[in-house]
Amino acid sequence: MTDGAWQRTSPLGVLFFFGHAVRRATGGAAQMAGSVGGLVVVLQTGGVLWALLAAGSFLALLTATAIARYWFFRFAVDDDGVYIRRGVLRKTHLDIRFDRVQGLDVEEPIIYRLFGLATVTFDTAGSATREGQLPAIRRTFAQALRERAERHRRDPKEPAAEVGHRHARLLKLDAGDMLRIGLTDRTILASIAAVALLVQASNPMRFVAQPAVEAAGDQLLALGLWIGLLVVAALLIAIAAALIVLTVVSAFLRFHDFELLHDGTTFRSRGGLLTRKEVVLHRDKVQQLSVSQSLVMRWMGRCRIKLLPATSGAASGNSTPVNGQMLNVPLADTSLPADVGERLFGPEGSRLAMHPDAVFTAVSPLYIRARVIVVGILPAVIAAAVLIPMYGLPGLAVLPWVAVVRLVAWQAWLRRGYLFDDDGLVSRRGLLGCSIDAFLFRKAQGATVRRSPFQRRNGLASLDVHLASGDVTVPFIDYATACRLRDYLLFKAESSRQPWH
Amino acid sequence: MFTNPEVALDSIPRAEEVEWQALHPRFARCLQIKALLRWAGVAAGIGAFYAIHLAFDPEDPIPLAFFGACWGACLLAGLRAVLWPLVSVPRRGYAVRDKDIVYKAGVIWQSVKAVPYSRVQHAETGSSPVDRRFGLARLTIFTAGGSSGDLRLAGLGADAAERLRAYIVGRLGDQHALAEIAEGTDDVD
Repeated sequence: MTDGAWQRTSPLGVLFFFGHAVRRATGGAAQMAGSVGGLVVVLQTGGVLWALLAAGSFLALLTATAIARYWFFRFAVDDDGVYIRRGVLRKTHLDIRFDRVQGLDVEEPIIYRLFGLATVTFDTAGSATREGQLPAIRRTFAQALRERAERHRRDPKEPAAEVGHRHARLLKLDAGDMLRIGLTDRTILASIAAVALLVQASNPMRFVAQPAVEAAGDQLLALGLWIGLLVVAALLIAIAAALIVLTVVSAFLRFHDFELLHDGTTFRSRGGLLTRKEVVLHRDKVQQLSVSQSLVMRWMGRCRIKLLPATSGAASGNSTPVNGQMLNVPLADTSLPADVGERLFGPEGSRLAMHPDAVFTAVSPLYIRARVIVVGILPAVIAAAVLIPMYGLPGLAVLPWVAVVRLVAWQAWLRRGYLFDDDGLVSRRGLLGCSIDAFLFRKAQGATVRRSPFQRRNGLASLDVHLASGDVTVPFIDYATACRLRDYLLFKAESSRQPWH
Repeated sequence: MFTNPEVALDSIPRAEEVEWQALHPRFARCLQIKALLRWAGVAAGIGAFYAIHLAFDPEDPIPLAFFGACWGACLLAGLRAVLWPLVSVPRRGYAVRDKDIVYKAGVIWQSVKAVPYSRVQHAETGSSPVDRRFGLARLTIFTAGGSSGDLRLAGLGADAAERLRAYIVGRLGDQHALAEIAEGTDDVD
């Protein structure tokens, strides 16, 4: 692999470029929904032939693009680094030196795994995000690349002490954990609900389903009330069980054999049943540590951890950044965040509590009143003003809304809190569950102190800290504290001699 | 050697104690003209729609009162847009400090934003035709991450914006040089 000769990736790399082309052509889910809608309209108005022709030529265009991009993508490897030449019309030359490589993400989709291939993404020092990608190369080659990069990185000035706990395994998830992930997964439940709504809204399904449901209802009534109720209850339980099975299966697909490793400077996670995905994140790249705990996770005594890198923008050079991969630990013991925090922040964040149940400084209770005024009283008064002329006194039914908002705001206030030491800050928020965001002051990109009229009257302010991974807000704290915090964190950011990425 | 002496909190410069630079004196007028043009355009659009509507459907016209209400709304919005800069522009201000740039804005919801030079990714100046007519430009300072961390300074003199941009980009060079020196001499990790 050291001859430096130009080579192409495996022909299966076409799939990678096809995926890229599709993503670029559709440009997000909204546009895709638009084109599907357009197709449906064309189909309904009878232009089946035209629709097929349009779809076919579109597909052909994408395939041609993918093949062209595959053909013009060449790379070479020598002792010093990886060189990538790509682009059909606009050529890009990308040289990645091994001594700048901090980590390689390796992704093995199912089709690639059948052929022993992998896609490698390089994470380089001096850039805030990832830079280059090598699609569909041999897995052994990817392994060799990583070993070489690690050798280059270790050689010069790696502190001897850190070699001691090289490749410490922080976490390994088993089948029982997959069950727990499935039980705590909310996104899948939400998407199933969305699909159910769509099915309800779409006409053809209703025509098919309605008579069947009605017939079933008639039969149930014929069986007698109690048996009917039993059948309905059994049906509901069956649906719930099916949902749980689905989420557990999804957890297996995404996180089977999940491992979290740490080797002194980098965190590495790998997992997945069909597509095996490995994410490597250098400690310096992590902008923010997030720990969240939903209500169900709380009962189980578990939590979820995310290590967030910068989201966009290359810090140096003109290379096209590849979006930063966050390192997501779907399920962990509640003692792990403290361990990860210690390894991540080192002595800098030694006094920061990385646990949602730690003692946090509460924000001002006026937070509740501000929420009640803005979200509760104001809309309720407007709604009452509109509804009472229309319906008379029943229009006052909107008033309990204020009580609901009061309750929710009170719960949100209970969860709100912050905690800081000389080097970093932890902010906590939540409603039923709870999540904390921790960061070092020297990683801050900027800060804003905001004040509403209500806050000005009460000597309060909200502090927004802008990080490369997003914003962290500490609302409703003392104005003087907010200003001092902002000035202090700016001072830390300005005077730090360590790079923030 | 890398040293890290302790700093007393009170000795850190405070953003509130800086001397705020006012925006360009013609900026309020520029905002007013822009707002007038915009709302006049909207009113003209409504008028054109009404004319086309009358031309194509003269039997069953939409009542004139409806369009009157639309024009009235435009007039009110235009009036607000003309008066508001007189209140809001004097409350905006910026300060260029040794290590960062600070910008304050807001009449009802007030905010003070600060961005250190060492976190700036790049800076750009831009101006619309109306801006150029008034000799104004805006400076946008980009940081890493989302757009919420970016700093937009509208209403600078064209010359001032260009000088400020050059200054900030120059400071970027300093920072990179500093970082390289630090990397070369210290064990930064």
